[in-house]
Amino acid sequence: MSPSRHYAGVLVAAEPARLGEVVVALAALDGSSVGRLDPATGRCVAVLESADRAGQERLFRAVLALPGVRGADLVYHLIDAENEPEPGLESEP
Amino acid sequence: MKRDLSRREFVRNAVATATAAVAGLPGASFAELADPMQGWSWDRGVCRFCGVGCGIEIATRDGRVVAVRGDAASPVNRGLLCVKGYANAEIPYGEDRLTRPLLRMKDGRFDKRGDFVPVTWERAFDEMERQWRRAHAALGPTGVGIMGSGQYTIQEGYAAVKLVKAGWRSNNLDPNARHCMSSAVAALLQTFGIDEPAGCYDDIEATDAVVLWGANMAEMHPMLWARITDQRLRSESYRIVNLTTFRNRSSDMADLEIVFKPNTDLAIWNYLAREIVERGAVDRAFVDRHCVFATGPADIGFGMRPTDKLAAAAERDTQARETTVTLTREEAIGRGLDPDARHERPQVDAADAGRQWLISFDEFRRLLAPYTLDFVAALAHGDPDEPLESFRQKLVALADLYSDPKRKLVSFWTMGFNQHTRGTWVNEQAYMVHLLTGKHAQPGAGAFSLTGQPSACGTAREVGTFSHRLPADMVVDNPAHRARAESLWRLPAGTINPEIGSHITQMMRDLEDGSLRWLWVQVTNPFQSTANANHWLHAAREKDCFIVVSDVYPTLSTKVADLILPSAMIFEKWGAYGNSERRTQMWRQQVEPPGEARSDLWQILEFSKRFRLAEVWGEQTVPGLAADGFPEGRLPDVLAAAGTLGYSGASTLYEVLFATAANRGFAWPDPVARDRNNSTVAAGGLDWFPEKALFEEYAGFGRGEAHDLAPFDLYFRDDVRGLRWPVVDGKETPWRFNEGYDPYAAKGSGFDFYGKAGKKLAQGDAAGPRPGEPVEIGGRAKIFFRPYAAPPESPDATYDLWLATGRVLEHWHSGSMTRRVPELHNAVPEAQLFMHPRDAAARGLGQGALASIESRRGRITARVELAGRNRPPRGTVFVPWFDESVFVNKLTLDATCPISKQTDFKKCAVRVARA
Repeated sequence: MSPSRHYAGVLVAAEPARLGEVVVALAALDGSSVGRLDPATGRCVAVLESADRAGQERLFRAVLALPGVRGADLVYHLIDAENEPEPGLESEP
Repeated sequence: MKRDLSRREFVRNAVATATAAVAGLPGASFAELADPMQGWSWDRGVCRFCGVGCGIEIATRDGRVVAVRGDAASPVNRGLLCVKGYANAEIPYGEDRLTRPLLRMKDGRFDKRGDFVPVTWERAFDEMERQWRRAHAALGPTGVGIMGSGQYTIQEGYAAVKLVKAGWRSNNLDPNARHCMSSAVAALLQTFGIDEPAGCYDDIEATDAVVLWGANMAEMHPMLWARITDQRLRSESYRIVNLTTFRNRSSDMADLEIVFKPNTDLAIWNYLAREIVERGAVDRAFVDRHCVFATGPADIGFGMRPTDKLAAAAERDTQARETTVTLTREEAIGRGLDPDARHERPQVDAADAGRQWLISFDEFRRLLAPYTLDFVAALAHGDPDEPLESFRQKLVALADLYSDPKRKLVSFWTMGFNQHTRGTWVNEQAYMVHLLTGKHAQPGAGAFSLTGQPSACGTAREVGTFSHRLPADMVVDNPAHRARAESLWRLPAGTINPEIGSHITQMMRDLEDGSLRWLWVQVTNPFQSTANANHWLHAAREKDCFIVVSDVYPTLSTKVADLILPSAMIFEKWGAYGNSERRTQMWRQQVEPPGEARSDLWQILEFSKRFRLAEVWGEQTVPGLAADGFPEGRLPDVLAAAGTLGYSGASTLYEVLFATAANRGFAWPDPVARDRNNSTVAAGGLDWFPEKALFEEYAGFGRGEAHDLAPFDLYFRDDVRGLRWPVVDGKETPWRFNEGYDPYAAKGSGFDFYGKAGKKLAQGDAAGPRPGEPVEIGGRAKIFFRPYAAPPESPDATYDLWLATGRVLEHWHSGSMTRRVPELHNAVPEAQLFMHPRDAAARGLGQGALASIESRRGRITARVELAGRNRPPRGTVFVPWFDESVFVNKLTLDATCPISKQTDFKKCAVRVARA
């Protein structure tokens, strides 16, 4: 059975002057993408995507550890199980 | 693969948007957003959908809702919204919005076999009135009724209560909330003597552990789930347990998932209680001071009809269990009986299922004795592919969690508990365990029943739109309560009917057997949502009855109606909702209703103008009425007494009930409106503010009675985001019954379970009450013993699978709104048959195959889903009920908890084959 995908929306607060640096680092983090940003306040939204909860925890801690990050809040979490069927179980039209 | 990628993009975007809304972050491009936001007007509101009660902000431009965002200042959702929440902006704008009254006509006249023809409101009300009089003349007040809703605004629900109970003197008003949480209500009243939870959502951050019982919060309460998962990710010691009959999305985040066999939650709770007692983990100081022990009768039936006169042949074996049950071996053990003997039990207490009496702690302990780990593990083991030893270890881990005196813990539940033929019992068992351990009514410690609908608490429960209720926890069969309502409503003594009316499922049965001939459905879709639907569809179309449905879109219920009335949607009117944590929230009208759509409140007020006191307050025949002070089978003529109150026989119900001098004192326009419109006022040509007047009148019932609501205007103050009642001296109450937070708890008590209902009881033992004077228990809560009971229908050789129904994240109830939002419809376009791959393979079914699902009551088809969000164990299937083309309630059984009358949608027996 294919695993669920875990998605977390994290509000990241950076030092405003270092927001660009933080965005680059977030984008480089495997499983992370940047959804929205607000240069005026130094905040951005990172979407963390992983196969399981442990992956979410690792990514969340990695975000917190990035240089220039003041803090991060998990504000949305979604576990999506709408995946392909188990291999070997044929689909019908 | 393509589907998977596009879905991942969709989900990522949804998550990013939801997160950005929390802090009001703009979109990725300021330039893109700048233009569209010109001229937007933002105001606060509350989400239209579930019982969480998320705060939202609504943007309007040019008379149209153009955007919705989470309210970052809302303590409920802190700016978050789920995918449904964002749809608040889109739900009014489906292409097939109802905008004119439609009446079945042939040759210019009403004809039940006719086609729907647009008519004026005047013509619609004329026919409604004519048909009402016909039904009333034939059957009296019990021949007419209204099915209401946990989605009624507080004011709409209150107006409906007043029209039906004070005006028509019928108690046939019952909400769809009967299907949602009436078991929770009954258990709260029996345990604490007062309805609604002790705790609040702040428990999520204040606790160390969350245990879900039949509550897939990840889909059904997503914003509370976000708060829970946030806590879990922040703390290594925070624990989440998911007790369920099939794996679901909440399992993914759980530290412990326990898949149990349907109905065996009753046995698991007793195992936990037994462990707590035998381990010495009872909080004696709390229990001795604040609790008593109690029980009630066990042979109480299943809320089905006591006759099979109208049952199809295939239904009769299940129906027969309403009168006599042969106990299973496990039921015998659970009752301390000889498991090898045959126990045939007439269901002698079906008519008085809520009876209760006190027992001793020693008797309570004795009754728990059979619920050993061995017995309960073997009984409750729900996944045949999980080793029994693994399941046993999980039960022990659960007992460790509940027994740990150092750990705070919250148990949450919703439909898995409430939709249960022993729903009241299983709710009471949650309180049993929390009270035994002293973990209740404290920050982070409590048993917490969540509701499903946005105002199941605020309207259905607090206002009292049930067939037995009056506002503020009062009931129609209590003479003192009737007298208080009659006084507050300025009615002659003896106006209110003392006989409890028909609950929503019973109203369907009444239609079928001809004892209800006029039905008005508001803000609900009961012909899709009521179990065993084939009977009721047939009754609606083939029996001598007139059915009016007020709604915003065509539904299955409008299809079977005789008259359709177009309603205003949430932000096209003023309103108020009350959520699961007792938080009352209000909103202003934002836009105008389309076409001739009108608010449900206007519809009630306008229709009430058509009745004069002379025709409803004279003597009325009520078959079977037997109450002290009333002539047998009759309601007295109260017209003479009405004269002393200044009314005459020519006075209309509108004048007497709604446009009273006091209510007309609330003038419109009102500064609180900030120049926004009021469609109820405009359509009625009013110079008074009915939503404010009716709210203040209603609030009079609860003020000083531990249900205190704040003044209307306070809810609109810029710094207020709803208030949790009781609101005393402007201060809300986060935790009830706790002296530190609740002004109604007696000083020096620590805890005071001050509810008044059912506080005087006889004493006895498991066999029954003993003769003697009842004992007054004052501010104590009851710890009930309830035995394990098997459901009325279980899989057998013919129907070999359990069927459970429920909801999905993307759709709201019967899908009448969310299926018209493209993003939501595309995400889950149809209801699927979730089943185990091996069960499917054994029937020659693969992923996506069209399957036939058949019960004793009907047959439907659905596509098989083997790897989706719900993963049943072998032996169980799940079908959501939002999709009228996969009409799962044709299969379900209309058995109810005999105490609460709430239907069990979670278990019946079906067979599945290739279609």
